[in-house]
Amino acid sequence: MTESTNIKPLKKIIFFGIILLCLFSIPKVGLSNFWLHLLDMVLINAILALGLNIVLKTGQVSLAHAAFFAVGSYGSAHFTLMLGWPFLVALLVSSLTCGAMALILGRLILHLKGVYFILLTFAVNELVFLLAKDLTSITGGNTGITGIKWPHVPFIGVIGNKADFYYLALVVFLIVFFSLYIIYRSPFGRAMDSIRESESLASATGYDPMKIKLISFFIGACIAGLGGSLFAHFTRYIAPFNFTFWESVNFLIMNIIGGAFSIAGPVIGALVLTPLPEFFREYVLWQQTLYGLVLILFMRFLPDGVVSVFVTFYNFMKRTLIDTFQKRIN
Amino acid sequence: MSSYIFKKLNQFLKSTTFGVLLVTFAMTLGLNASWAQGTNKELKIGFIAALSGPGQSWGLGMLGGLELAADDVNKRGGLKVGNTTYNIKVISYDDKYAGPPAAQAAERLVSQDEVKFIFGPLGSVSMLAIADITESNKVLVFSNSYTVKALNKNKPYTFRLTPTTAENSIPMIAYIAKANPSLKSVVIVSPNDESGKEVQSHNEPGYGKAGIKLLAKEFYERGTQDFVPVLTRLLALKPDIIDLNGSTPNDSGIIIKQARQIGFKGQFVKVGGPGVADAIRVAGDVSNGLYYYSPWDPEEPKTKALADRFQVKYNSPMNPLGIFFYEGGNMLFNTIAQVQSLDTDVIRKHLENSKYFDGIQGRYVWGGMETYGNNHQVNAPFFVGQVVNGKEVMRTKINP
Amino acid sequence: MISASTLTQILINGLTAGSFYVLMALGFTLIFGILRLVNFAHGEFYMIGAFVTYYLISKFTINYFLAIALSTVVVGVIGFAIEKALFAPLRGRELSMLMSALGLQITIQGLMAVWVGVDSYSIAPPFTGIIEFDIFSFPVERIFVVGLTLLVLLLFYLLIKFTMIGKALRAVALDDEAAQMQGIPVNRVYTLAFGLGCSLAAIAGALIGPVFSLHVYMGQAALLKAFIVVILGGLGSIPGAVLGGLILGFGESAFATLLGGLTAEMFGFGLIIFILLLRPSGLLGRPQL
Repeated sequence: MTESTNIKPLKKIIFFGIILLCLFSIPKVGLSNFWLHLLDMVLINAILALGLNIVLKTGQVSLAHAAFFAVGSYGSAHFTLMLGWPFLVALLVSSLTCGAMALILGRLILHLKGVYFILLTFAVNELVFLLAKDLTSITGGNTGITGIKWPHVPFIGVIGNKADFYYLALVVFLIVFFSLYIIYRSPFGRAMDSIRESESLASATGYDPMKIKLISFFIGACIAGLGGSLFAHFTRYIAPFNFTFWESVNFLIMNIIGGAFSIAGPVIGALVLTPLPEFFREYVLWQQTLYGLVLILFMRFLPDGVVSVFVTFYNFMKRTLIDTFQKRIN
Repeated sequence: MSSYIFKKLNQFLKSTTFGVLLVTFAMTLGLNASWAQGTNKELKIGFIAALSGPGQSWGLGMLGGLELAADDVNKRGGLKVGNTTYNIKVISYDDKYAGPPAAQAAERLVSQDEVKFIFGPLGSVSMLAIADITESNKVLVFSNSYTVKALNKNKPYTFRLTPTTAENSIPMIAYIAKANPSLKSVVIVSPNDESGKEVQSHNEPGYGKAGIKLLAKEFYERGTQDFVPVLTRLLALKPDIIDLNGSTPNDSGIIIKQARQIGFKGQFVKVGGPGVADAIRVAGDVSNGLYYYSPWDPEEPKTKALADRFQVKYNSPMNPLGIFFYEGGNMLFNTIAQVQSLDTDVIRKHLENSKYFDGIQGRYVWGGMETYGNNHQVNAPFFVGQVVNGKEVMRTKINP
Repeated sequence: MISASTLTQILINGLTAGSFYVLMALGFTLIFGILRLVNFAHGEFYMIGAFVTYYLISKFTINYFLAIALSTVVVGVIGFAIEKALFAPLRGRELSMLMSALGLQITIQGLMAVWVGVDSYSIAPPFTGIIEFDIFSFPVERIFVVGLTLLVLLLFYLLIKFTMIGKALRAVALDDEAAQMQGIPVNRVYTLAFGLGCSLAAIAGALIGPVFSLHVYMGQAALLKAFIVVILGGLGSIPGAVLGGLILGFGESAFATLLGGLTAEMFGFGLIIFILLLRPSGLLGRPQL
C-alpha cells in the first residue's frame, strides 16, 4: 500500500514549517468572502473527516458520524445560546458529550462487524435525525436554530468574520491533525492497524480489540463534536437536514476518495469534495450523475484514493532522482 | 484482449499523468464557468433555488419567471439609471434545497459576483441560512419560503414575494366553507418538515374562524408512501374534509387515491403550496373535486401568454410559483427605474413607502406588520381552484 | 376502545403492506446472501422496473402483465452487465464493493432524474375497484399485489428447490469456496444472482408502483424498507424476508392507526436497533462466522 518514507527529521521539520507558514498567511492574500467561506468549510469538513478516519482505522465503517456531528452542533448552540456559556467551554463540553455518547453507544455496538455494524450505525444516524426533528424545544424542530453567535475567544475577542474564523478553524484542525499523526505512529496506532487487518489475530497477540475500538470510537466522536461546534458557530444556523445519512456518507466518501489508509487522505478528500459544487455551476443537473460515476471509477481504479497517486508520484520521483545520481557517480 | 486494455488503463490511472490531467480538467471546468465576464454594462441579479433534485420544478419556474421579466426589460432597450443603461443578467445558483449550499451560493453571489439583489431561495432552511450574509452586506432579498422566521424588523433588506398560508389560509378556507355549507369537520394530513408544520399552524385557526371543527391533525415523515394506516385512523373520526396541507403534489395524489380506496367519500382540500399537476396525474379521476390553492389562473389571457412564453423558451410547462417571480422581477426593475438609483437603502425605503405594486394579475399589497413587524410580505391575489375532469378550473379570485 | 372493525382493517392493512415489503426485500436479501453485498442501488432497480413498465404501457400500449415480464427481463439483463463490469473486478473487497454500490445508486438516480425528469406518474392497475364487505373496504389492486407476491414467492421457491440453478445458488450462498471446489462456476453464479436480484426489484417496482406513484426518487423509500425487513429477518434468508416483511407491515399498521404516523417510522428504526443488538444475524438468519 504505502511505502514508508525516509527523509531526515530536520528536513521534515523545515518542510512542515514552510507549509505552516503558508497556511497561516493565506487570508492575508486578500481573498474575498467567497473563497474564505470555502476554505473555512474545507477545514471544518477536514476535521470531521479526520474524526471518521480514526474510526475507520480499526476497520469499523461507521455511518453514524453525522449523528455525532449533530450532537456537537446542537450541543454547542444550546450551551452558548440557552445557557450562556463561553464559546471555548461549549466547544469542549460538546466534544466531550459526543465522546460520552460514543462510549455508551460503542459498548453496545462495536462487537458487530462488517455489514452489521454499518447498518446499525445507519439506523442510529436516522434515529438521531428523527429526534432532531421532533425534540422541538431543544433543537428548534424542523426549522432548527438561528442566531447562533460568532465565537468569542478570551484575549482575542469576538471572531466575527470569515478571515478570522479561518485562523480558529486552522488551529483546531492542526491540533486534531497532529494529535492523530502522533496517535497513528504510536503503539496504539499499530494496535488499531492490526485490529483492522485481523481482529482474531490481534486478540491472540494480546490486544483487547473491544477496548481499542472503543477508544478510537471515542476519539472519533470527540473530533466530530469539535467539528460540529465550529460548524454551528460558523454558519450560525443549523437544521436537522444538515445531519442526514447522506452527510455521513459524504464524510465516508471524503475518506475513501482521499485515501482512507493515510492521515492525509481525509484532508485531501475534504479539499477536493467541498468546493466541488462550485465547479458544477454550469452543469447542475449532471452533478449527481458525475459524482456517482467518479465514485465508481475510483473504487475500480484508485481504491486507495488520491493519496495513492501522490505516493506513486513521490516514489517515482525518488527512484528517478536516485537513478540519475547513480548514473552520474558511475 | 479486454484484460490487456484493463491492465493498461489501470497503469495509466495509477500514473501521475492521470492525476495531473484530472486536476487540470477539474480546474478549467470551474474556472471557465466562474470567471466569464461580460463587456457590456450589466446589472447582475442573483438567484438561488433548488435547480436539481426534488424541488427542481418550483425552482425552475421561479427562475424562468424572473428571466422572462429580465427579457422584457432587455427587449425594451435595457434599464436606464442616470446616464447608464443596463442589461439585466440573471446569475442563478442551485442550492439543492439545503442550507449550507444556499449559504455558499449566497456568498458567491455577494462577494464574487457582487450582486445587490437576490431572488429566492425556495425553502425555509435556505432562506434562514443566507440571512446573515445578505443582511450584513445590504443585499435585497426577494424570496419564497414558508417560515414565519424569514421576515422581521431586524432584517430590513429581506422581502417575501410569495404569500404564505399566514396570508391565504383564512380567506381560502372561508370561501370553501361558504360554497359548501354542509362541510362541518376536517382532518389535516401534513408532512413533518418545516413547511408542513408552518402551514398547519395557519390552517388550524382558518378552520376555527370558518366554524369547521378540526378533528385531528396527523403528521407523517417525508418519504412515506403508504398512507392507508394513517388514513384508517383518521377516517374512523368521520371527517367531512381531508386537508392535504403542506403535502407535496406527489404525496397529495397518493393520499387522495388511497383515501378513496378505503372508503372516504368526502371533500379533499389542499390549502398549502402550489402545484397540483402531479396530484392529478397520480390520483387520476378520483382527484376530481379537489379544492386547491392556485397562484394563478392559467386561462387568464396575460397569464396564459406568459406561460406560453415559458414553454417556448424552456421546453417545459411553467410552474405556477413562477408568476410571483415574474411580477416581482418587474416590480424591482420598475422601482429602480422610478427611484433612478441602484442603492439598496433607497430602493427598500421606496418599497416600504409604496404600499403596493401592480402586475398582470392585479394589485400586490405589501403587508405583514402584525405578524412580522414590518410590511415586507406580499399579499397577492390568488385563486381557489378545483379539479374538474382532470383539469384545473378556477372557482374564485381572492384579492388582498 | 379499538373497535373490531378498526382492528380488522389494521390487520388487512398490515397484510397488504407486509407483502409489499416482502416483495421489496426479496431481491435485496438474495444479493446479500450470495454476493455478501449490501446493494445500495436496489431501490434504483426497483424504480427502473416501474419506469420501464410505464414506458412500455404508455408508448406501446401493451398488456400490463406483458409489460412487467419484459421489464423484469430488461432489468435483469442490465443487472448482469453491471455485475460483470462493476463488482466482478472487486471480488473479495467488501468495502470497495459497498462504495461502488453506493456510487451506482447515485449514478442511476442522477441519470434518470435528467432523462425522465422529476414529475410523478401513475400506472393504471389491471384490476380496480373496491370490495366493500360490511364496513371494511379492500382495494382490489392491493389484494392483487398480495396475490402476485405469493405467486412470485412460489415461483422463486420452485426455482431454488428444484432447479440446477437453484442448487448452485444455494451452494454458493452456503460456502462459495466449497462450491467452487465442487466445480460450480462461482463467478457466473454471482452474475446470475445479481441479475436475478435486480429482476426481483424490478417486479416489485412494477407491481407496487401503481399502488403508490412513480417518480425517480421512489427507490429510496423501497430501499429503506428493504433494509429494515432484511435486517429483521436475517441478511440472506428468504423466509426471514417474509417474516420480517410481515412483522414490519403489521407493526407499522398498528402503530400508525393507533398512535399516529410518526411513531410508525420510529417503530421501524427501533426494531432494527433492537434486533441488531440482541440477535444481529436476524430472526431467521445464520449466525455470523
